Amino acid sequence: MFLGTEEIVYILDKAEGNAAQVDGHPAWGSAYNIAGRTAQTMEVVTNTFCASGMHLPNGSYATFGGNGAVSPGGNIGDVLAPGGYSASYDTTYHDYSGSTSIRILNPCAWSDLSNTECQWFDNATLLHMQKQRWYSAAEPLGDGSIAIIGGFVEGGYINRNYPNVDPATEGGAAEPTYEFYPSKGPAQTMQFLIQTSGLNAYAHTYMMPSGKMFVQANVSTSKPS
Amino acid sequence: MLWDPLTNEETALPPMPDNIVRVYPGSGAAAMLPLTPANNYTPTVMFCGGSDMPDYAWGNYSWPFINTFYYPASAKCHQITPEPVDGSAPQYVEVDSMPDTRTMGQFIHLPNGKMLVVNGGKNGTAGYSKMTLETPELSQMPYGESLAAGPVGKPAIFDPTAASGSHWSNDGFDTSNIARLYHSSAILLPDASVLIAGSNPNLDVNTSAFFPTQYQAEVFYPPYFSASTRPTPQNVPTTLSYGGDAFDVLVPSSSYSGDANSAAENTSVWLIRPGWTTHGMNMGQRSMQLNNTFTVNQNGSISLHVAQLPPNPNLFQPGPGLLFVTMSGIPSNGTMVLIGSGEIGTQPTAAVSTLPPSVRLNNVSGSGSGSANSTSTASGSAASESSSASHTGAIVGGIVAAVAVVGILGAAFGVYMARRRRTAAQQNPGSMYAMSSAPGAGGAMASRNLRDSDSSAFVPLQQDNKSTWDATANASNVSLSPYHDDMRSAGPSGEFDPYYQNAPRQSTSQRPRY
Repeated sequence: MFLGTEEIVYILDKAEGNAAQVDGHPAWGSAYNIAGRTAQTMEVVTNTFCASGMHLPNGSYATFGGNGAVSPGGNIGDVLAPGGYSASYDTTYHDYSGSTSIRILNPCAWSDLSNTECQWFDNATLLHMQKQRWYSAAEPLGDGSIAIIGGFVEGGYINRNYPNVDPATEGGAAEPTYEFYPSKGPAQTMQFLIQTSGLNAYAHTYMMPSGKMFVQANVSTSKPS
Repeated sequence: MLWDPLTNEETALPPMPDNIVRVYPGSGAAAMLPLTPANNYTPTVMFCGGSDMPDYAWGNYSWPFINTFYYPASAKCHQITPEPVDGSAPQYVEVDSMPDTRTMGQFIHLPNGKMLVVNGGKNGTAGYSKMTLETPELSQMPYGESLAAGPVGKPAIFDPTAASGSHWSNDGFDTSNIARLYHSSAILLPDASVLIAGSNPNLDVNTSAFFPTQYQAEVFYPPYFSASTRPTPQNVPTTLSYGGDAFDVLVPSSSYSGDANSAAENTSVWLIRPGWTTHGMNMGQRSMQLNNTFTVNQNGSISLHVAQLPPNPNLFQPGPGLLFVTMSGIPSNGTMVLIGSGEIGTQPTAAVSTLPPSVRLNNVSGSGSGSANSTSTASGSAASESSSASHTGAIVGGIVAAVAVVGILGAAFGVYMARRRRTAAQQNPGSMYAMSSAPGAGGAMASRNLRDSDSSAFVPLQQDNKSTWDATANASNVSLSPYHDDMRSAGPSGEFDPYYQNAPRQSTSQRPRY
């Protein structure tokens, strides 16, 4: 969740069997009116489970990545993505895959919440990351652009197989790259993510005075298994 | 390590001491300490808790190889200053441990330079699974799918400026009876309370699990909510810049009691970025004390001369924040401000603000209430909605549909209305935008020991039937049995991937077979 204005906390959940409904399916987004202690569901198109997020210089917020489409019980959705390992859509929960999503929210006054410009912009065909990211880190640079770092490709408990014979990509299940929003070019491999393989999701990131970024993951030494 | 985002160069830093994993799913609490004039705005990052279980125990994509829920989390805290101004080599330094071991704890910056740690569990890690390598059957899992146990319901406050051995305090803090384990979050609200929501260490919605899908949110009121007077600064700007001309904020005399010089000397201005919170983290959270001087005015008001942010956007990246004026540890409401140009791009910077010397006046006092105790039943003005909700009253009528990160409101009203209501001693949150100054006993505010306050309490956000949602909506027809497993068979390998991300891509590795 994040504080959008002095009156609203915006909340993102995961696509699951919540009883609250919006647009004919379980809701996984809402806006909470702090003073009124009341909430309003919001439509979110893609699955926000395990996304990352960050503010933007104008007070808007962006959220990055997420899970593939899911169906009841935590199973994958019924419209499979190419390869069949995850789903691009589910006909019960009506969630689309969020794995490459970049979603933007412009905070509004509570009275304007239902206006189109106050809703989540969540259209992966128009705006998306280069890579699928689940539990990526996000941290702004001094110019307000956001570094999006690492993550799982499609989830899991920790980001490795055991034994860890492929610490970089885990056969395609780990994403050892970073990219930016707005983009600064093709996603690049970060060596540190390979070095910290397995315990490198949701890395702790803090911009430093010099413009370099402090990044912490695993125990910051390689742990081959 | 230190990473150059533009060149991708890495500079190694020392490893985390004691093998404590701070990232997910160890999920230690992490934050940058407040940036203040006293520390010359030099960033120090602190990590608390997480898990030091050995590398093997973490297992793989599917599940941990040990019963994490029996393995105590860490209570240890370490700090590191990654770019020391004296050019010395950065190193981790152990500081006071938390009062409790905690996985999935998270820090919330409070607008008085202190940090609250909330949520989490005593044992285990984040995540959920229908099994571990040591417990191959869901029916044997002692906490359902949760890989953590022992909800830590009592928060604690870390004071970075306290002496070693005295950093942590939780005296008089209330203990929540709501588990905030995997998928919990928290965020600072403009009234300087803390919204807490979430918890769902389960595959889907499961309201009968050991640690159920939790739709009820709470608000935690830090000790300063015992104050009967909170500052009400005037002329707070809505934009701030990196360097540039200082600005004035007027604090009326009603905002404090006692000697004006003392009050002014104990006044600070805080810029808090609450951040984007999920999974026990607040991404982007920052706390910065803006430098200030003051002029005490004859009528008891205090003019604060406040500096803009230091002229380095890397310290507090452009975007939104909350600005608070805090007097003797009691914050005003936060005003939302926008820092920087409002656009992505190189930010304008200017010289550090110059501040006039402070001007004191003797024999000037504030007219606010000096009471540290809850005496809102006393007569007086303002009263309004806060007077009837005394500090000992039950909380929060008319709250609609508690929100939660893990679940959106509207689910099963009956279940949550039956929950035991907590009584707590603090102000009615409905008054948060009307800072009453109910008269009370006199006395200086400055010397109050806030830690003795009994106002450090949780306020559950209750539901009533005034939901904007369809109150007739049925709960999802997903089976809520915690052991519901018929949609995903164990398969010949006996494996179950709770993240239902099949691992054909992982076929090159050996997965545990049994």
